[in-house]
Amino acid sequence: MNDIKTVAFAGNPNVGKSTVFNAITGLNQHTGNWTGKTVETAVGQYNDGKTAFSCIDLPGSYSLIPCSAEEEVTRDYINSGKADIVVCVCDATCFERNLTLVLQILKITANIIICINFNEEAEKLGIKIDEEKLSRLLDVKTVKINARKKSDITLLIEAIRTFRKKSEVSCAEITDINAKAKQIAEECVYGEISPRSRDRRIDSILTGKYTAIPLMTVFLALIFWLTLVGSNYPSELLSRAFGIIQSSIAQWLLNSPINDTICGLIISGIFGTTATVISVMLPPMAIFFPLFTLLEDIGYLPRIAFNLDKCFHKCGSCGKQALTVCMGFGCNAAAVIGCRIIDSPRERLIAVITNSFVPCNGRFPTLIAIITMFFISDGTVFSSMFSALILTVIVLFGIIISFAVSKLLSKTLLKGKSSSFVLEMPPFRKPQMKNIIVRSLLDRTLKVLIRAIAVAAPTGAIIWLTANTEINGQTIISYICRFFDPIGYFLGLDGTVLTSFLLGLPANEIVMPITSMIYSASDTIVDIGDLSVLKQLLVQNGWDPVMAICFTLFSLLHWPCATTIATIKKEAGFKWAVLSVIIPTVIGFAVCSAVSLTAKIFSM
Amino acid sequence: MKTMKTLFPGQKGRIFEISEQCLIKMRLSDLGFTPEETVFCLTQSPLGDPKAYFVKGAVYAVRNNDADKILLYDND
Repeated sequence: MNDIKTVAFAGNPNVGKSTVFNAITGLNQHTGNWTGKTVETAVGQYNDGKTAFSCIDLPGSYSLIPCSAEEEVTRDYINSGKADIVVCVCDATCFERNLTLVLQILKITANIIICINFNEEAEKLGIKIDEEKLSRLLDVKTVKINARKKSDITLLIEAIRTFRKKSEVSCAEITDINAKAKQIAEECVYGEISPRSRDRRIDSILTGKYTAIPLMTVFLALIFWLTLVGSNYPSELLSRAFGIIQSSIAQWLLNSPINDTICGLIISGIFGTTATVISVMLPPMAIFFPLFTLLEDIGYLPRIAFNLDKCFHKCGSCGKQALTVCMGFGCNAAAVIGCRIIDSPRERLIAVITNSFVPCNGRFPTLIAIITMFFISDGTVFSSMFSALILTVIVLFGIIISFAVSKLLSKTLLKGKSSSFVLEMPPFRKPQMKNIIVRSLLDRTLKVLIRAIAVAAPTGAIIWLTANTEINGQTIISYICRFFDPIGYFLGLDGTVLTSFLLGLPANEIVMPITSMIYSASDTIVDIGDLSVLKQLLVQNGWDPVMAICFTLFSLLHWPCATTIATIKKEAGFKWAVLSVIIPTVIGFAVCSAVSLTAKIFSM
Repeated sequence: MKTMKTLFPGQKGRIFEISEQCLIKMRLSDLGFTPEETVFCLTQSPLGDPKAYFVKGAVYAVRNNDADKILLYDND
C-alpha cells in the first residue's frame, strides 16, 4: 500500500458537499440545508484497495476571501497545501456562482476535481452542463454526479483514484474572477435559469403574509405534541428496565464485602441518577432531533429566519438567530455552538447570551408534567393537545423575553445596529430519511446524552451524600433547603425547589426528581412516573396553581445548565459566560417575585 | 436611480452596480449580484423586510437597507 493521500472537499453551502463526503467515507456526519451548516470540519477515511485516502470536509464557503470564520478555515486549509486533491463540489442549478470558488481555488492549486452535483435536478429545470468543454477550458478533471445515487459516487471514487498530481498552477493570471466565471459559464452551461415555480408556490404559503406565522406556530406545537406523546411510553419502559438492572446490581453488591454506604452511593446515588437522566432525556431527544433535522433537510429553517428577521433586526440582531433559537429547543449547549453561523461577533454574542431563554428538551418534561398536573383535568387526546398549547404559550413568552434582552443588550453592553444580512434560501429538496435518522441520533442525540451522563453521575453522588449524611439528626440537604426557604417564598416557590434548581445545575431534567426526593425524604432521586402520585406529593408540600406557575416561569428563566455555561465560556469567554448566568437569573427573580406578589395581593 | 429595494414580488430588474456604501458589497457580488445581471423579486417576508431575490439560479434573502444599495437600470 502506498502513502495516505489527503482529499479535501470544498464547495458552496447547500451543494450536497456533505452528502458526497458521507457517501464516500461512510462516516455519518451531519448535512443539511442550513446555510453554513458544516461549522466543524469532519474527517474520514476510505481506501480503494490500493491507496488509503484521508478525507476532510471543509466548511461551506462562497468565496476564499473570507466573510466568516468558516470561510477562513477553508481558505487557510487550501492555502496550507495539505491536500493532495481538492474535490470542489458544485451545484449544477447555480453553476456560475460555484465557478467563482473553483477559480479561486485554481489560483492556489491545480490539483482539483470539479464534481458537479444535482444534474438530474438541473436537467429538469432545463439546464445542461458540458463538462468535457469545461474540462478542456480549465484543464481540470470533471465528474458529473447525483450525490444521492450510489452508482454515481463510484465515478467520483474512480476519478480520485486515477488522479495524477500536477505541479503547475494554471489560473494564476486570472484577475477578474467574476468576469471569467461568467465567460466560462456562458460557454459551458446550456439553458436559461428561471425561478422554480414549485418552490415559489410553496414559499408563497410558508412565507405568506397571513400564513407564515400561524404555520410556524402550528409546526412548533406539532413538534412539541409529537415529542410529548411519543416519549411517554419509551421513557417508562427505559425506567423499568433500569429498575431491574439496578436491583440486580444491588443484590450483587450487597452480597459482596463492600461497605453498605459505598453500595448506597453507587446504586442509589450514581446509578440511580444516571438512569433517571437517561430515561427522562433520551426518548424526547430521539424524537425531537430527527424532527428538527427533517425541517432542516427539506429547507424550512432558512424560511423561519426569513419570516422573523425583521423582529431580530429591530432588536439589533440577526435573522439567523431564529435558527439557533430553534436549535435551543433541543439543547441550549448545542445551540450555543450553532451560533457560529452568525457572522457578526456582536450579533453572535447576543444570540449566545439569550439562548437559554429557550426551554430545552431537559426542561420540557418538567414543564409538561407541571402543566398536566395543575392545569389539565383528564387524560384524553384533547388534553394532551391542550397542554401542548399551554406549552407553546410558555415558549412564546420565553422568546419574547429573549427578544427584549437582545434589544437591551444591543442598546447597552453590545451597542450597535444590526446592519446587513444575506441568507441563502435553498430549494426545497426531498429529505433523505435514513440519513436524517442516523445523523440526528448519532451527531446530536448521542453527543448530548453522553455529556449529560458525564455530569449526572458525579451530581448523583453529591445528591446522595447530602441526602444521606446527617448532622444532629438532620440531613445536610434539609439544612440547605431551610436556608433557601426565605428567598424561595419570596419567589413564590420554596427552599426545596430552589435547592433542586441549584443541585440540578448539571442537567435540568433532574430538577423535578430532586424535588420529589427531598419532599418524600427519600435517600435517592425519584422520578415519579404516575402524575397523580406526584401531584399529591407536591400538594402535600404546599403547592398551589400559583406556585406551579412560578415554578414554570423559574424553569424558563434561570441560569443555564452547566454544559451550556461551559460551552459559552469556550465560545465567547469567561466574562460573557458569567453574564449569561446573571441575566436570566435576575430576570427570573424579578418575574417570579412579581407574580407571587400579585397573587398574594389578589388573594387578600 | 431605481434600487433593488423598489422591486416587489413578481417584478424584475437589471443590476447597474452595487454602491460603495454597501457594507456587504463583496458578499453580494460573490453570490452573483453583479452588474448586468437580472434579479427577480420572489417573495417578501410577512413583515415586509427582508425580501427574497432570485439571481443566477439561487434565492437569497436581502434586507431592504442592503437592497437599497443595489442600483438598477431605470429603463427595464
